[in-house]
Formats: sequence, C-alpha cells, structure tokens
Amino acid sequence: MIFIITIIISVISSLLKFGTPIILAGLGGVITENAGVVNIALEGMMRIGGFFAVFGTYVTGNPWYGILLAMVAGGLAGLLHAYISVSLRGNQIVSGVAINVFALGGITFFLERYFNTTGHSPSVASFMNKPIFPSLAKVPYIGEIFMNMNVFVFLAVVMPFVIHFYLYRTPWGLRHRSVGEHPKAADTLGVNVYLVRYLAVTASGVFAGLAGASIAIGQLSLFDNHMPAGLGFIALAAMIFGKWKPLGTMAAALFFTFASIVQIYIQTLAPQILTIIPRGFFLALPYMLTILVLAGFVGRAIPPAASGVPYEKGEKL
Amino acid sequence: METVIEIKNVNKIFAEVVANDNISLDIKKGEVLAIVGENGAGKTTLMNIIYGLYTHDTGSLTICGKNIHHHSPRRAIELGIGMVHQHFMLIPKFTVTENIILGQEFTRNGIVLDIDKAIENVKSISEKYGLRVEPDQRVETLSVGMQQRVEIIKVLFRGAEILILDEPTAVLTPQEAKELFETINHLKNQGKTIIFISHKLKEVLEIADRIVVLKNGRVVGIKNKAETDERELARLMVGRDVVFESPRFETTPGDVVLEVKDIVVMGEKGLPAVKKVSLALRKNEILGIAGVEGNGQVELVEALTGLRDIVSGVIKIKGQEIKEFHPWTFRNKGFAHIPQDRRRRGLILPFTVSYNLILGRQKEKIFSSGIFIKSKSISDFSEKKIQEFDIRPRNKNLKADALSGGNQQKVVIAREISSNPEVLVASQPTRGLDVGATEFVHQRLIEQRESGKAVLLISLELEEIMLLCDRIAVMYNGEIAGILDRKDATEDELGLLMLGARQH
Amino acid sequence: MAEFVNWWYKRRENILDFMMPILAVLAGFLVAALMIKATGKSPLEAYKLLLQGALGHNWQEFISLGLAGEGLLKGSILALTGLSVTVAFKAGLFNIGAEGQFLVGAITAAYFGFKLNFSPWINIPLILLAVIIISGLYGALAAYLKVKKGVHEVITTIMLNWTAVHLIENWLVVGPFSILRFFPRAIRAGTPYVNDNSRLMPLMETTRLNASIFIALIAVIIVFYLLYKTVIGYEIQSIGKNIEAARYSGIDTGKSMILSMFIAGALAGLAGACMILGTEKQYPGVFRPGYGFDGIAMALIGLTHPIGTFITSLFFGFVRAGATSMQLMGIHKTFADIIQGTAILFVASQVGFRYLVYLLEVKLKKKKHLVKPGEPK
Repeated sequence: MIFIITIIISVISSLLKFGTPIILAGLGGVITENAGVVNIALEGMMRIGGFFAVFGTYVTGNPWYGILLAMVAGGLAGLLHAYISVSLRGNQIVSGVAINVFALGGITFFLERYFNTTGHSPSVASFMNKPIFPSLAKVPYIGEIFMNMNVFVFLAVVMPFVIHFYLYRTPWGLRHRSVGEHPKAADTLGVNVYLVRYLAVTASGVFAGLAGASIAIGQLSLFDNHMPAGLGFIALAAMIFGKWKPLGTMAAALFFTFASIVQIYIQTLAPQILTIIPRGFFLALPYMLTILVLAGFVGRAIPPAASGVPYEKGEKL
Repeated sequence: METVIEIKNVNKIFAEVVANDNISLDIKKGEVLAIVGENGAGKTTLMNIIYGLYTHDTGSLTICGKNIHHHSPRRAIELGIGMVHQHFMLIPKFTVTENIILGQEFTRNGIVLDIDKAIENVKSISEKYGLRVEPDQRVETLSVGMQQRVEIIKVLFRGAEILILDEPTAVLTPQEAKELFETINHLKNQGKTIIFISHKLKEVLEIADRIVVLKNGRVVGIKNKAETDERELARLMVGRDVVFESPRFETTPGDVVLEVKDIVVMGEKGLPAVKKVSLALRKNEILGIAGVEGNGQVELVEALTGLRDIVSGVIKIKGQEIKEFHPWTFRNKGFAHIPQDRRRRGLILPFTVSYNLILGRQKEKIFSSGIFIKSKSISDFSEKKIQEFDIRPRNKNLKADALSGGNQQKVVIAREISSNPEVLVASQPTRGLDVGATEFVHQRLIEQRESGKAVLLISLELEEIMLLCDRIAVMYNGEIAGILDRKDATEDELGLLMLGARQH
Repeated sequence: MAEFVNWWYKRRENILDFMMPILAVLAGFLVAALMIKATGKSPLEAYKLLLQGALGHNWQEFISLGLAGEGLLKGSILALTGLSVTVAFKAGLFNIGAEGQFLVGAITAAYFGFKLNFSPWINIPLILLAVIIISGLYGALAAYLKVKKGVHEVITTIMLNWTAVHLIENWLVVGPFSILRFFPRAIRAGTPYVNDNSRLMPLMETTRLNASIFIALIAVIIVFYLLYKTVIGYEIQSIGKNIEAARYSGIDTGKSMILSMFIAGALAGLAGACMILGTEKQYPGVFRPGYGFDGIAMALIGLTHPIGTFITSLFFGFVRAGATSMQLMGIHKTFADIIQGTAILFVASQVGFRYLVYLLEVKLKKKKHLVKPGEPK
C-alpha cells in the first residue's frame, strides 16, 4: 500500500516537474489564440527564453534576473510577432516559422559568442532543487511533491487558474475573448481590437520565455543547444487538446507528460510491455491524439472563430 | 409631435453614382417610420448617414436639436441612436448577457465581472419591452428571431431612443416577424422612435405610421398609413412609364429540358430557403425568375447548378433524374452557369483571360491531350473569343483582375456560351454593367433562345425580365408566387407578386 | 514624369514581386552583419570567408567542386524540400510538414537501401519509387484530413512531423530497423549502412557532390511542367487561387488538394532519400537536419515559384556551405539561419510592405506627383 502511494506521489511530482514548461508555454498559446492570433513560434520563443535565462543568471549571478531577462526576451519576440501579424497584417504562420528559424540560428550564434560552445553553456545558479515551500517538503509522503516545486512549478500550478479567472471572470477577459471570436462585433462596441491583440501576443511571448527558463534554470542549470527539443510544439498540441482553455491545457499538458514519462516507469517496473508497445508510440501519442481530436474522432475541438485572421479596421466602423 | 431627426437637402455621391439626391425628411419622436424602395434606391446610404458611418456631401443633419457636422457611430450612440444591422454583430459562443454587456460590463470591486447584476439588467429591459430572452443561453443555440431580440436589447442597453432596423424581417420566419411587430409596438408605446427599412409592402402597412418611398436616391413619396395602399406604394417603388420593346420574333417553345419538382433547399441559416419549388424549362425559351433579393433565388440557382444539395424533391434533366449533386454532374449534362458574383465565383482573378476562358473545360480534347494542356489551341481559342465577344483590352495574357467589370463579365459569358450549353443559367448577368455591356449580354441571351437552347434568367431588375423572358416566375419567401406569360404580365401585377401582396 | 508614372502603374506588381526576394536576402545579410559586428568581429572579413568557403579560393578549386560541390549538394536537398512546400502552396495549402515527410523518406530509403540489392540502375529507381509512394501518402494524409474532416493542414502537418520523429527514432531505428537486429555486435546507432548498389556515389573524386543535383534538376523541371503545362497543374492552381471558382467550374477540389499534397510529400521524401543514399549512408540514431523547415524558407523567398525556389535553394546551399568556413573566425555555421529567418520575416511582412508602398503612392498622389493618367485629380 505504502509502496503504491509512494509511486503515485512520485508520479505526481514528476508530472508537475516535467509538465511545467508545457503548461507555461501552452498558456501562452491560450492567451494569444483567444485574441485571434496564431503563434506557432512558441518553440522558438521558449528557446530564446531558455538562453536568456541562463545568460541573465550568468551575468548577474542571480537567477531571478535570469527569469526577468527570459520574460523580456520572450516578450520582445512576441512583440515582433504582434507587429507583423497585427500591424502589418502579415501571414501569422509565416511569421511564426520565421521566428522559429531565427531563434534556431540566433541562439546558437549567441551561445558560441558568449559561451564559446555549440553544445551547452556552463552551469549557472538556478532554481533546480530549490523548493519554494521548503517546510512543506518535509511533510511525510506528500512532501515529495513540494520538494520538486520550485518557482516555475508553482507558477505552472497557479497560473492556469489565474488565466482562467482572467478570461472568464473579468471584464477584460470578456473583451479579450470577444476579439478572438468576432473582432468586428467587439470593435463596434468600443473594444480596442489592436491593443488587445498586441498585449495578448506579447504576453504569449512572455509565457513562452518563462517556459524556456523553466527548463534551463528550473529543471537544469544550463542551456543546451537542443532546447527545447519540440516542447513548444507539444505545448501547441496541449492547447488544442485542451480546447483552447487554460485548465484544459494544463490537464492536456499533464496527460502528455504522463504519456512521455510513463515509458520510463514501465522500463523499470515492467519492461516487457515495451516489447509490445514501443517507446516511440508513447512519445508520439500527444501528437497523434491531437490529430484525432481535431478530426473529431475523440471529441471535437473548435478554435476561436477569428483565430489566424488578420483584422482590418473598417474606415469608420 | 417633436422632431428628433431633421434631414435637409442631403446629398451623397459615390464615385459618380448619386446614392442620395436632395433628400429632406423629418422624423418625429415616437413614430414608426418605414423607408421602402428597391435595391439601390438609397435606403441603406441614408441610414448610414444618420448612424455616422458615412458623411453626407451637402445638406444638413440635425439630431435632437443638435446640428451634426462630425458624425460617427460613437456619437450616434451618445445621441441615443441604435442600429440593428441586417447581419447580426453577435458572438455565437458568448451567452446572451455577455453579448449585451460587452464593452460596458458591471464589476464587483472593479475586478470581478458581475454577471448577476448584468443578468438583472437584461431581465428588466426584456420585461419592460416584452423582449423574451434567456440571459444564460449561448447565442449560437438561439433561433434567428431570438438573436435579433438580443441585438435589440443590446441597443436598448446602451440607452437608445431612436432605433434603426435594417431589413429586420429579411431573415425571419412569418411567426418571428409577427413577434417582432409586437415588440416594435411595445417600443413605440414606451416612447421610442423606430426607423424600419424594408421592401415588403404588406408588413410596412401593418407596422408603420408613415412610409417614405425612395427611388433612385430621391424621395418620391411620403404617405401616412391611412392614406395609401399597396398598389400605390408598389407603383411608386417599381412603376415605370417606359417599357423597352425588344427586337425579337416569337418562337414556339420546344421539349422540356429541365424539370424541377417540389425541391427544398436549405439556406445559410439552416432554414429552408427554397420551399417546394416546381418549374419546367423548355427549349427555345427564356424563363425569368423575378423577385426581391433574398427570397430564395440564390439558393435555387445553386441547387440547379450542383453547388448546393437539395433536401427533398426531384431534378430531372431531359427526363433523367439527377442523383449526384456536384457542379460537374450538371456541366456534363450540358449546363452552363453565369454566376451572380463573377469575382468570387465566375473568374479566377489571378489567372490570365486565356486561362479563365477555358475554366471548367480544361479536360476537353481541344484544350488538352489528357495530360498536357494545348497552349496553342487555348491561345487560338482565346483570341477568337476575345474578338467575338469584344473583350477589351485585346490581350489574352492579361490577368482577369486587370479588366473592367464589364469585360470581366464578357469573359464569363464568352466561356459559358461557347461551351454550347443546352441550358444556360444566368444569375443577374448584367449586375453592375453599363448600358452598352448590358445590351450586349441581353443580345447573347436572346441568341441562345433563338438557336433552340433554354435559358433560365434570374434577375432583380423587373425591366430586364420583362424585356427578355417568355415566361416569368416570381419568387417570394422561397416559393413561386406565380408564373405568368410575358403577354399577360404587367409591371404592377409582377410588383404585387414580388412584394407578397398577392398570391397568383 | 508621366511616362514614369505610367510605367510604374503597369509594372508595379512585377517590380514588387521581383524586388521582394532580393530585399529579403539583403535584409538578412544586413541583420547578420550587425550581429557579427556586435560581437566585435568584422562582417566584411566574415563575408569574404563565406564567399571563399562557398566557391573556392581560386578558379581551379572552383572547377574541382571541392567546395562548390558542397553548396550544390546542400542546394539540391533544399530545392527538393522547397519544391515540396511550393507545390502545396500552389494548391493553397501550407505544408509545414516537409520535415516529417523528409524523415519518412529518409527511413524508407535507409530500409530499402539495405534490403534491396540489384544493380544500381534498378536498385536506386526502386528505392526512390518506394520513397515517393510512402512519403507521398504521408503528405496526402494531411490533405485528406482537411478535405474530409476540415482540419487545418498547418496543425496536422506540425503534429505529423513529431509523430514521424518519434515513431522513426524511438521505434523503427531502435527496434525493427536497428542495426543491432542485423549485426548484434555493431557499435554504431541507427540503421545498417545501405548497399553500395543503393548509393548515390560522388560524381568526381574531388567532391562529395552526387546525383542529388540531377534529381533536384529533374524535380524542378517536372514540377514546372506539371504546374504550368498540364491539366493537373491547371486544376491545382485553380484551387489555390480561388477554390470557390474552381468548385463552380466543376473541378474536383478535394482530389486536387490530396494530389498536390501527395506530390509535396514525395518531393520532401526524395530530399530525405538523397541525404541517406548520398552522404549519410544510414539513418543515424538522431537525425534532425531541419531541411524541411528550410524548405519553407526556400519556397517563400523564392516566391513559391518552382524556378524561384530552385534559385533560392542553390543560393542558400552556397551560403550554408560557405558558412562552415566562417568557423575559422569563431562564427557558428547555423548563423545562416539568421539570414534565412530575417529573410522570411521580411517576406511575412510583405503585405505590410505593399501597404507602405500604397501609402506612399497616396501621399505622392495628394501632392499630385503620381496621378494615374485619366484619373480624376
């Protein structure tokens, strides 16, 4: 019995730890898509955030500055995407692809420039193994959950509820969603469509930056050139699987994380299962499920009606 | 009674088209004023001027005693004017209440949305004006009539004293329209002023106190309800003194090529737009479909060209029943279609004139070897057609986008006619064309008829229908209100049928 | 002045079209130069190394294709994925999935390259045929889901990319296709080496350049003819330019969409096959060359025209090959991504760019400089 509880606690703890970057980036996706702008550059923005988190920490020696710099850098990338998508009414997908490509090359360039390597940066101070509630970590059994709960994990647990409250319980959230659903109707009622979109896209960059930081100085204490290795796209998948809702996205992110770590547990506990269902299937599961959901085989997912559509203000409307 | 809006000598010109020509009109507090007129008579332009979407060129506009110079929708709302657009501005996923309060929300301590207070507000408006709604329901689950009620509450919530309803019954079922009229009476009794735009005379006479008739941008009559009747209004609206006679000889209609029996077709809103329509089209004739816009013509045309499925009924071509509804089924059976919207459907604008001239015929032996297209024959063909149909400029390699509207239409017509169709469905083929181009199109349609083909002509222009057709079917509210021989048809008669004032 | 105005209005679209890729690439080089400058190095020096690295230090070296061959080799692969994106784009579809189709092609080539062992003239075409079919179907899947279920192809192709990565690298390559299954004592990861009869061998001793360049050339010619000279191409372009008009005219729009994505998948798959049969010889344990995403860049910068895509691809092939030699100055070769990324950003803003040109026109018009003849002032 105790054995089972221990396993459950340990699974929850790992789920939160490894699900954190997906939840945070997925929230970024929720925020921007609910305002009607598609952001497939979450991956690139996470990469930018991860690097600058380490860079900021390296320069100042204080990981809090690392977080701050990661958010600013991600936010700037978001601002660029907003400028192209909202002001220039450019193609949001193309812009997203460009930011991803740019992040790929640009960050490698910086890595080489500042750390003289194309592998990984040196170790910096980090939030790794720095529980935010150290006293709770000593409680028997459930303590393990808090042991892993650093500032990022804490945010990943709290922010979905905050964003949920914002989107569904405040006037600003109502306006935010109206812009993603029917910008023209929102506009006729005096909602500033452009402003809402700018803020939302920038905020999605901030969240993606935070997500990147949560890997680099949350789970580890260095930036590796492979980061974030597709987690940005899993976040996108989680957002869709979570039906563009913050709590749904969190649940989807945890489910996807479960799918990817369950094979680690299986490997140690019951390796014979992997000979029947290969590891690759567990890892590909989030993506395959997302396609099935979109195709309507597993529930139906409908995006915000105006997502991806540039809004052009009528001359006098 | 007090005058709330005073319009004096207002003019509005769009790129050489006079939309409003010296209009003067007083709108009194607490009245229901109907504005009627054909499409393009200038009704919407006038309303948009009042609502601040357009600025008039000359003349003066006074609202509630204030002379308006710099107008805008925001200003209009401040002055207590609310507009219910024909196409609703509602967010389907939001609840009724959320739609109503958006932009003017109530909060608790400045942060939390106070939905309870909002619901109370919505309920009190709904009770006061007899507008029954469920505040918690999502708009997407509501009927069209309900959605309209939400729009009206939205306007009242913002304190409107003057309500403009732009063709409010166009999308409603008769029952819903009846409920709307009750609402309007209710609003009137509460002292609101209502401006009601319509072209359905029956309902106008039912609901309005005064009726303003517009024609070609001018006010041609302002009548009190008691002093007028449908016949007079219809004459003012559509009546003309001159009818052009077409230079043509009589032909005797041949065999039936297209037979339509009791077809039902759904419209965009998920309601039947074509209700049990039956028609027969014969060789050697032009059958006209007349009617006011939005009475099911678009859906009928789409059903008869394979662009829209039919829900029930039978379509037979030369005695054979059609089972598969795809455009290619109809084209393979000798149909051609001049669509209503040439830019959206008739042409691929980024393609050259030459490529547009073979659209849909690219697989035919003269244009391709099955795999490769025959550039030489396509360009020979194009040059021939450009000459024959006088498409200008005479450059087959120009993109269709670069052509004027009239020449674009000539490309469509050249293509559709040159496929030598058994049945030509022409939907508003002269819309937006000048006199010369219109005459050209008319000539081609008559030629079709005289060479033994069948033509189905859908038009909103009664004049055009009278000029070209052998028989005229009038559509009203998704049904055929009557089919007349041209010899027996008068414009008055057709006008009454079109406006639903008489069942033939 | 009047002549200029006339000329401008007549040719405006063509001029803007032609300028776009050039400006985009120039902007890319400019931003990259600023970044090099910011690190305290000389951009001019760096670009000199880039040029020498791309083409060679002298005429003999250029002819030997020792360095230039690398550019052509990289350019061929880029061209194939670029064409993949271009073909889909012509049908109005955004193929973000070239990456996944590339990997599917690569694993297919690795498997059949090892399994089949006829003489090269039979073996290689057989392998490529298998790649075309399997990658093509993988691409067509996204179009099928769009036609039948209305799922947006961008999301589906992204998801299919990662599905491919995981199923290939965490199942096939470590499981049924693993080298360990055939040679239990192997110390390498990945699949077994392909047979010599499956290899695309270097054309000359002095270069690694192989028949990939011919495959790319044939592909660009076929795509060009397909799009502009055949009925299929006519129909594909129709649905891309105005799907409503295409449907009205009786074209089977669903079929054309699926076909275009089949072709797109096949082209990206061929790129993967060229890598495996040419330089890689096996599907390695981890294989993320990113050529699929680069293909998007090539297509967009090349104005989604097959010839434009081909030229852009060769150009960036040389840039990438040349970038290797910039490492002498301590500038990593992925720096080419900066140029590429900036160039795409520029292309993404082209709606805005055109709008700016339009605003400028309006401004000049107000000053009566740029009034179109015959237009009321």
